[in-house]
Amino acid sequence: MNCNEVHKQILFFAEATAHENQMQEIQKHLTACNECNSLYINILTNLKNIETEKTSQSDELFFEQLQAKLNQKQKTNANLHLHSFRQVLEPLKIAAVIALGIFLGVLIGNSSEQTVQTEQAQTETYSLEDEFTKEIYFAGNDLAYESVEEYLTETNSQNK
Amino acid sequence: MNDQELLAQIQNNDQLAFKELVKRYQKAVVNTCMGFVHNTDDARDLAQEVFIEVYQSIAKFRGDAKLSTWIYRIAVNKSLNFLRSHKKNSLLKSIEQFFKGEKNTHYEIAHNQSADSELLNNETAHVLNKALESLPENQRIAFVLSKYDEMPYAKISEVMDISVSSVESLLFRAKKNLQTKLVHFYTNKPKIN
Repeated sequence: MNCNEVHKQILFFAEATAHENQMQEIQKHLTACNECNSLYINILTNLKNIETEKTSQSDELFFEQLQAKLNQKQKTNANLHLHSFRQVLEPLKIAAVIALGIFLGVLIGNSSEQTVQTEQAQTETYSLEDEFTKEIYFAGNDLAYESVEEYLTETNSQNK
Repeated sequence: MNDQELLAQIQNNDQLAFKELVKRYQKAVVNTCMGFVHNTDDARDLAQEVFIEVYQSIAKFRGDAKLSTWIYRIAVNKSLNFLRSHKKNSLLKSIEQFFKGEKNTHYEIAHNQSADSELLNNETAHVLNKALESLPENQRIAFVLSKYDEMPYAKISEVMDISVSSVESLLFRAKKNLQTKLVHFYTNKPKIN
């Protein structure tokens, strides 16, 4: 086995998963080749590094800290719900104020229109009555109905 | 008490049952997260996020998968999301540093494209982690579940929702890729494949 062939199997050799005959050949090569042997040691160190990274003991404070985080999250969630409820409520409030304004506007508008209409109706009734009494009043009095000056001016202009 | 009984009790708002669940899966979840983030504090925080998610959505859990499978899936998804957001943040930081004229100290802008060259700039202790980061997502998940959680292929296939032979293939390719990157780093010569 040459160096290149060893390099292609070195990790499997380091974790002892290569084929048995290959394991023996690599082992033979490593005893003869210093470079490959140092490569093997480095790779083995890296694989052992995984073991040192792993947790072997359970942390006693883990659950207490987890519970504190959970409570904190629940509080934050409750605040978020309240906040989102407020966010929904805000445009509703504005819409309600606008609707109330429109309603009041319409109400005031209607009432003032009614007043105007009543006043107009009253005026109309009055003038009709007035005209009627005039008619009666002037029925036998043409002079009172048509002024003398006006009558004369009109006849004068007709004569001319 | 088995997982099914535990699940039923938690769904009935039993706090002690939830505590038992955390105790049962705490190490496994922390290790899964550690396999992705390689930082004890981040892994611990992520594991707590995983259990918060479990607590909040356990009422909706219908039991289509095993409880353990469901928890591992949440752990994997949370870890991947963490890495994605971290990558985004580091990218923004890099851009900010670039415009401020500062030297980029830790993360490269084109992280994926320069994964190989990045390997050369890191300490030996981080070589495997950096090589792992450069793996395709599904290969990385399979490798982490296999190495950090010591999960059998059948369990990995359940968590990833793929066949056992696909898991074998993914793991083989993951190891081949890692080997190529490690050999390249340590011998400083062109890739084998």
